[in-house]
Amino acid sequence: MRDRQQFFSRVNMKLLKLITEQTILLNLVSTNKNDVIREIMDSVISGTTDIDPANSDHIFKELLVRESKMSTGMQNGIAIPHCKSQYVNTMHVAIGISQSGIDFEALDGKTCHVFIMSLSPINRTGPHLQFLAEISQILSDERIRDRLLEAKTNAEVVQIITGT
Amino acid sequence: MMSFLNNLFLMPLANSAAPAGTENVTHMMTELVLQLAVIIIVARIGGYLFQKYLKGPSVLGELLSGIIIGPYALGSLNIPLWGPLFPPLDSSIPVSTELYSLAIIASILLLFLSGLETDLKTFMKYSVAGAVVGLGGLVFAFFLGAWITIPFGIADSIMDPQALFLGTIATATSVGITARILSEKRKMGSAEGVTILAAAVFDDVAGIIVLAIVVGMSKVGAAGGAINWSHIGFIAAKAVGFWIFFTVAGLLLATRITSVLKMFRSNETIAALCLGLAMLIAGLSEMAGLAMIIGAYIMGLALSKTDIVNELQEQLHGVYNLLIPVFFCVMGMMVNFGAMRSTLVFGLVYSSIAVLTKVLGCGLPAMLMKFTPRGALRIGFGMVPRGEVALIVAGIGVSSGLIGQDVFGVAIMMSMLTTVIAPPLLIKSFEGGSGVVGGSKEVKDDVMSIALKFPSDSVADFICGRILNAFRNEEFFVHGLHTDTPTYQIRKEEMTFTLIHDNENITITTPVKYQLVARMIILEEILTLQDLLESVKDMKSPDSMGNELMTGFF
Repeated sequence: MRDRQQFFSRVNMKLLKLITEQTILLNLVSTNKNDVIREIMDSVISGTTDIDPANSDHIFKELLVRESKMSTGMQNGIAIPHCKSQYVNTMHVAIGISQSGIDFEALDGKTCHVFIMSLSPINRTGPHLQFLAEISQILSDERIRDRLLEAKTNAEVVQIITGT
Repeated sequence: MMSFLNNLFLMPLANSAAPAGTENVTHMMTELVLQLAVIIIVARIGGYLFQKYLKGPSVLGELLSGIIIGPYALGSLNIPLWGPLFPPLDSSIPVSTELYSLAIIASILLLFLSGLETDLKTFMKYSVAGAVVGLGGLVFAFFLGAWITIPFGIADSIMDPQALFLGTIATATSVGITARILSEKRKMGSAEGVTILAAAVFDDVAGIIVLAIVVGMSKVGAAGGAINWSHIGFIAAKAVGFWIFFTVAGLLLATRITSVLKMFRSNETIAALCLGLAMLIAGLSEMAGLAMIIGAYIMGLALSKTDIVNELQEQLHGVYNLLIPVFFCVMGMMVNFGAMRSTLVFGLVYSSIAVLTKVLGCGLPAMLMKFTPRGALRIGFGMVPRGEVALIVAGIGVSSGLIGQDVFGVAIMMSMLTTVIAPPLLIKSFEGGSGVVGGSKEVKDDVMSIALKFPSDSVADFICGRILNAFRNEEFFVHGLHTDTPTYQIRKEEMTFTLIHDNENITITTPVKYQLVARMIILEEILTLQDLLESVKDMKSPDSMGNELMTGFF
């Protein structure tokens, strides 16, 4: 935990609790951008009572609208699909890992392997983007990315990201 | 004294079944309100005139206003149908208890805000240099300030309460006055600037401890009998212990306190609660035998490194503007020129010593700490103004009956003279090059800039507002600085970004390690503008909107 404090502010140390074994998808099956967004989003919705499954199409559309403005595929195989939605009451985070890699129209043209999705409420203040930025900061370390791709269990992924 | 005016105006308020004391209270309140009305109006105007025409700090205008309208001057004149507005009272404090209480509350607020103004990080960095410089000034000023009373026959020895108090009063340094000049001259970041500040803070702390010891010694001395050194040791230990315990506790808990306060999601509530806490610690420090201002200062210092510091200053600005002139004006009212006439020569000698002891006492150690004579002189001048701190110390002395009106007058004279003399000398000394041996060593963090250019000033202005709002939504505190070019400080915990909006350009300065946070928040905001542009296209045409607005004009 101590080594994570250089990346996470105190406020987001609390948000790290959002990353649990239930929100990890170790072996994504999707092979294209839209499918992978849908796959991770469905796992978030199925794991919470906060979001009405009837609204999943709306949220999916909001995620795609954000992608249409500018892809959230960053560099070095990382993507951070996210959106703010009126159908969400609290922030949700999920992490997906694709061993084969998916074309996510990333900035550097490479395929993406690690996906961090966040869904946050539209009308509430909170360190939503700050949290994403701080996770991205952690994943900018190549050794951590390599360890994530080698992870065998969900618990291992949580340990690598949160340091617990 | 029930006057015709009182009867005329307050009769409707009087209840026939009211207890006997009600009329007295009503009269007392009426008197207080009238006194406050005169003080607020005269002090504000006095401060304004002093600043505008004499180019001096407004604080001096407020003090002079107090001297003019106080009980020893115009205040004692009879007003028809009322009597004197500020009748001289037969006590060590020549103003009413109610009025003095307000001045005390103002002093707590003043020191709380001084604590908030202290830049803790820089203070820590230059704390060793500052401590050496501060200690030098303190020792010189205390011993010479106390000793000078002997040749003038004011005290028999430096153990006399009057001598001890004049020594203590000479040690004070006003952080506020020095800091204001440094920030106006943009010298806050210079080696001399931070050393002055660190030394001034050290001086405040050490001076307060000295004050606690001196009050203890004086009380023992006044009660007669031998001086109990173990008792003094206990007072000193209690003073140092209280200071260290509350400072450490404050610094460790400040972030936790603010994160709890932030749950209220209202800057007004946060500011009020913080001021309440400052008063609470002030009360506790008084119970520990220290002056209340210490507690207020500790609370300010603890909160100075949190992300809500700018909000607190902003929120308390109004109260500060209203109450602080009252404090200085009431302090001025306590000056009895009649009592001072006999000590006028001594007052001038004491004031000269007050200037010299700081220039030499701080300047010489500064030269040992790698400063050139030029730099040492800057530091020496920076430590000269005594301002409100000396007044508060003198006020404590006079209210506890340990010093007489004449010595109090001398303290006020010294405080006024040093406050007038120091600013022009300090400003003049900062002309020319670096004052550090081997060139200047400015404190700089590892920062980088993100520059954005927009088609026009108005577009940049609009987007600037949106970006600031995006930071607020991420629970950052945004604080506009009073500068010619719109500049904003964006803070949260240890993160600080600066946003400058200059015509069509927006520049965000960010510490390298937090650049990703700033970039992401700005990027998302700029992307949402696309939605905005789309929705603007769907608007009615400006022509038809214009027509609707113009319809019915004539």
